Amino acid sequence: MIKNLLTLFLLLIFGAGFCQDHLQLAPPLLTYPSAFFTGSTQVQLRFRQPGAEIRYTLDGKEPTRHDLLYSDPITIITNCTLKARSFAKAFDASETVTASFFKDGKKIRGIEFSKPNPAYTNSGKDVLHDNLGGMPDFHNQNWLGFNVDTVDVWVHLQKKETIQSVLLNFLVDQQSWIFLPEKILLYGYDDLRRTYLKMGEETYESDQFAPRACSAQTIKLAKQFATSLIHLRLCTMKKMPDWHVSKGEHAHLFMDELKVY
Amino acid sequence: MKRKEFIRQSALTAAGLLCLPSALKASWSPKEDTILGHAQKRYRLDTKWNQASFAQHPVKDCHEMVQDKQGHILLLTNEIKNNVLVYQQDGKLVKAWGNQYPGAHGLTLFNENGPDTLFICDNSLHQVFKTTIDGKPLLTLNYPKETGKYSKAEEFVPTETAIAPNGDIYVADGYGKDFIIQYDYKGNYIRHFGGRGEGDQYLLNAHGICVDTRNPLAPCLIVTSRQHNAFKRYTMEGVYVETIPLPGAWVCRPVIRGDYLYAAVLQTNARQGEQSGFVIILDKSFKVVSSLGGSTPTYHNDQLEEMYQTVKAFQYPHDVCVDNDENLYVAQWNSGQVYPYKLMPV
Repeated sequence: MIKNLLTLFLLLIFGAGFCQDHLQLAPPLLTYPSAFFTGSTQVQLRFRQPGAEIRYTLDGKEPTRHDLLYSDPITIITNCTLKARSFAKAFDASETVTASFFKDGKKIRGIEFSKPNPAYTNSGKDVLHDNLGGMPDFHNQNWLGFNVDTVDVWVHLQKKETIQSVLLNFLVDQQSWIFLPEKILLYGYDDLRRTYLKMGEETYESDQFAPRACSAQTIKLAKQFATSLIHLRLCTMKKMPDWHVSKGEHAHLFMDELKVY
Repeated sequence: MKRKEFIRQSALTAAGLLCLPSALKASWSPKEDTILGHAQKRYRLDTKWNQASFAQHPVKDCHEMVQDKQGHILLLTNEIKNNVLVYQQDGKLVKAWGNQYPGAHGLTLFNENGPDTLFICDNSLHQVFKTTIDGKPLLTLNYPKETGKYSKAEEFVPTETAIAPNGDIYVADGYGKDFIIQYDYKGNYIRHFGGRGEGDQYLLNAHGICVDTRNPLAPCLIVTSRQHNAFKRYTMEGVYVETIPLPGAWVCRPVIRGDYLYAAVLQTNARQGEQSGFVIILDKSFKVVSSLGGSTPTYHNDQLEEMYQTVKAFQYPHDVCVDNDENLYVAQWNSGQVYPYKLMPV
């Protein structure tokens, strides 16, 4: 018995000395033309590593070894969240890589918005409804960047429609001072009263570090409402939180697409 | 500090601080040994090669490594308690020296027909120093006003040197104006080339340089153009020859041993600031044949597919040293003050 225990002890000691670290795989590389689409879009996953495979889900659940095995580009036809991980026998499974995809909603005639920071602007007047973007990289030309206290957005629909929610796609890249807004206020224009009525409000906390990612936020209307003009007021974070290395500085707000459902 | 400046200087640092050094995460694994790399260039990783104690011989960024004629492995770090750590090949620390290089970045060894000499680039001091193998100063190169391109020392942020067989010194101003400045062995200015601009002959983040003598009839310079994700070849007189694209890869300095070229990839375009580095090996025809921790090198009609990390073996590898026995040593920047790793061929 003692001999066996001693052998086990020695095995552990020498094992620790000679064996490898437990290495983890990196997540698969996810590429797509845009996160926004009419009709359908395609997503490609790449991971060239001998013996490895990619498993994915489209229902927002964390992928396991038993989920869908990736072989060819995935066709997306409806709003969904794709999650993917790499697996291989000799390594720990990767972290999950996530991307959400959004189909066109109500037809938009045009969107007006406050003047972005000149360094992060885009001359395209349809930039917020051009179905381009959804890449978590602030250098990407689709992003509009703002560092003023409030950002106003007016959405003109092609016709009067009953709306339920508005979706805005933001970037979160806190190391680069890019945070979600503190608050979004949503107003619908009432033709009869000739005034805007407050229809929704969302607030956001940034009390801990979040990894860089696109962050689509839905502002639900308190009740269904028919209108052709929506006003959104976005309140940018004025002071970055205490945990941030540049706490107290004014945060930036980056957005690249808006959908009305 | 303005946001842009902050991002340039600190974004990656913050990412690095958020994770523990790999060495601390190491644990006993019942799994079979993990082999990194492809084809004939495959290696077994040893993350615990270093036997120096952090309390006595700390490191900050581990920037570059070379092997001297005695077989010792020299590591350059920007930790001014000991800028140079001298190791045996088995990881035992032999000695440490240097406390005058706060921005120690580039380390090149040149044998002058007998004695080994070192060339150290300091980002913070805006100078290049030539020393004996144990750190006695021999020559200092200040900012190259002879070029007519610089008005003050701060504009010159040298990252690397390469020494030609005749002793000519080539300095890469990789964090400054991206010029390559050529001097004779005494430090007299000869010419400059590269710099930034539109066109294949220009450089962007000329982070590394080496002399390639694999074809003795046509020695050439290989220069890193990191933001172009490429190496660029020039004649020894600075005439542009060709670009070697390395899609997706923030490649560091080229290191040649035998027929092969080795290079650390700090991170990838796809995953900037996410510890996405690996190490690549190119053959004599500049084809990537192996990637340690990276995707299997794949060519379509001679075009290399975008490279990316597949195994989290490294965080931000910054240099590769190849010793006499073909072992590799990988030094890492901003990776939780981790000491170099060793990789043994299998």
